[in-house]
Amino acid sequence: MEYTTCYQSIRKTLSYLSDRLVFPPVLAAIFVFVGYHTIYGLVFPTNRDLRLIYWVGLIYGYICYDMIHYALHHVGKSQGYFGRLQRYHNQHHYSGENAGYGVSSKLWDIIFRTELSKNDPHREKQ
Amino acid sequence: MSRPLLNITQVLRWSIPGGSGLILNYKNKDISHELKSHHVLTYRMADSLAIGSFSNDIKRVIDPEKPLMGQIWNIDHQQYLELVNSPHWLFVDSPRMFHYDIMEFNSHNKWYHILVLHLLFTSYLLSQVTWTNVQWKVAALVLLLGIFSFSLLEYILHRWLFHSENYLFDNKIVRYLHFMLHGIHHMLPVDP
Repeated sequence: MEYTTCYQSIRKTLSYLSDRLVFPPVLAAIFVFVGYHTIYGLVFPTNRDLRLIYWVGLIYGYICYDMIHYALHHVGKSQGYFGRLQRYHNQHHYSGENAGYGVSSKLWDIIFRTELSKNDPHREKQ
Repeated sequence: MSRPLLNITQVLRWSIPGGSGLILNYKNKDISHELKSHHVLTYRMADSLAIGSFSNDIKRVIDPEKPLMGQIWNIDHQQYLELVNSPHWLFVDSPRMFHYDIMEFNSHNKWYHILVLHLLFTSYLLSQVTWTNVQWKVAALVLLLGIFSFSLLEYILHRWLFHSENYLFDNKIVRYLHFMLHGIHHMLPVDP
C-alpha cells in the first residue's frame, strides 16, 4: 500500500512534464505506410473498401491503446477496472518486465500465460 | 556507491506519505541503511540527488544534462541492460533526447494532438470507402476485427520486440532503436 501511494505522489509531481508518452506521429506515418504495403496481400487483397475499414479498425485500436496507456501513467490512483489495470501495469514497470505485456487488456496475457503474479506489493488490494 | 552527499531540499517539497520528518531526522547523518530498507530501488534512485561525495567523484552511466541518445550510443551492452531494466532518475526534469532540434521537437507530442491527428486520418480513410458497395454489418465486423487485431499486435510487439532484452544483439544500432522504441519508457516511466 505504501509503495503504491509513494509512486503515485511522485508521478503526480512529475506528470505536468510529460509529453513524450504517446507515439510520435512522424514515426507512426512511416509504420502505417510500411505496414500497409507489407500486409497488403494478407487482408482483403481483392476488396479495397474492406481493406480500408480494416485499417481504420487497426488505427482505432492503436488510439485506444495509446490513450489508455497515457491515462494509466497520468491519471491518479483509481478504483474499479481501470484501477486494476493501473496496478497491473505498475507491476510490469516496477517488478516484472518479462510478464504482463498486455497494457490495454489482460486478455492475451491470460491466453499466452504471461500474467503477472498477484502476490506483489505493487499490486496490493485497496 | 562511494558515500555520496545528498541534497534533499527537493524531496522536502513533496507530500511523501510517512512525512519528510523521517528524512530530516537523518540531517547530516548516514541514511544509506534506511534508503536500502525502504525499497530496493530507493537507494539507487537517491543517486540523482547527489551533489558531491565524501570519497571519490560521482560516476553516472548517463548524464541527464546531455542528450540521451548520443550517450546510449556509447555505453556497452551490460550497462544498457541495467539501464532499461529498472526506473532511473526520480528527481530530474524531462531530459533532452536528441542533439538535433528537429528530432527533439518530434519526440514531444501532447496526447490530444495524437488523438485528433489519427481521428482526422481515419476519417479521411473512411471517406475513401465506396459505401454503396459495403453492407453496414460487414463493415462493423471488419472494423471490430481491426480493433481486435491491434490488441493482439500490441501484445506481440511488447513481448517479442519491446522486451527483447534477453536476446538483443550486442550492437549499437540495435540498442539505439530499442531504447528509442521502448527502453526509454522503462528507464523513465513517467516521462517518455
